[in-house]
Amino acid sequence: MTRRVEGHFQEHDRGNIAPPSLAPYLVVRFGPEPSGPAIEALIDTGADWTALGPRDALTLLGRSYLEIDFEVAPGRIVIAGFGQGDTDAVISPMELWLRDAEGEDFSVSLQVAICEPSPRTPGPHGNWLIPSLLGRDLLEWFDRTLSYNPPSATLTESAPV
Amino acid sequence: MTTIEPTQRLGPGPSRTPTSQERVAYDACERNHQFFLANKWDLFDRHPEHWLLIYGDQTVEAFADPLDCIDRRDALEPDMQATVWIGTPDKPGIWIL
Repeated sequence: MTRRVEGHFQEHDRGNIAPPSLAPYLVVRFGPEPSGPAIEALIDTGADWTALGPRDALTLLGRSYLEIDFEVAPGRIVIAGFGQGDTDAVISPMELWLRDAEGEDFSVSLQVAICEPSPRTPGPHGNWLIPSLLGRDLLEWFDRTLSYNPPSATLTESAPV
Repeated sequence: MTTIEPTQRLGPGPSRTPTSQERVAYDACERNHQFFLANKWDLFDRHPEHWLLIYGDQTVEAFADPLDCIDRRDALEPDMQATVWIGTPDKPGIWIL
């Protein structure tokens, strides 16, 4: 049976800079079991990799996130496109859990980029404002339907080739 | 963009039916998520500390220091932790992705 996962759209207030924008999100859970922390991640077909932003990395990893030395950590990479300029990140194997429309859980094993916070201090600034991204490494397993009117986001597992 | 090929092709695993306990926790977390989505601007106005811990039956606590929020989450009973939704400020600004 083809598995289907429903996402949702969320509106972002851009203050006086621009009108509010709608963007598609999916709730995923991290960890060995589907009861792990729930993260709201942006569906981003422009991202090569699934990336954990600072807010969600802090939620998921706790204080240990702020103790990562991104200069020397194993699995270190440099990524572009997560905020301005280059960003250091570490790649870590993770299980992401999705719940399909039938109420069944299934996991997707991925190498996830954990992005370095910039600035280091948590707050509403820098790349702390950027959400986690579901990149093509996850999205390639699904056919995607995004509609803005009415807003709906659906991932349907692709048939095996 | 940096492109890195994983050494191993990974993908979706088999489905599994959640236990009744997982289903209850999932539903509670989802209720708190929907509560956050429906009320976040009002919640942020009322709680200027801005890191919101929502757990159980829509119990809301606000924290100025995100680490205090995480520590409080970690101090909850495991059953209660599964119901947590953490809401963080959504400030004006244009994302450059």
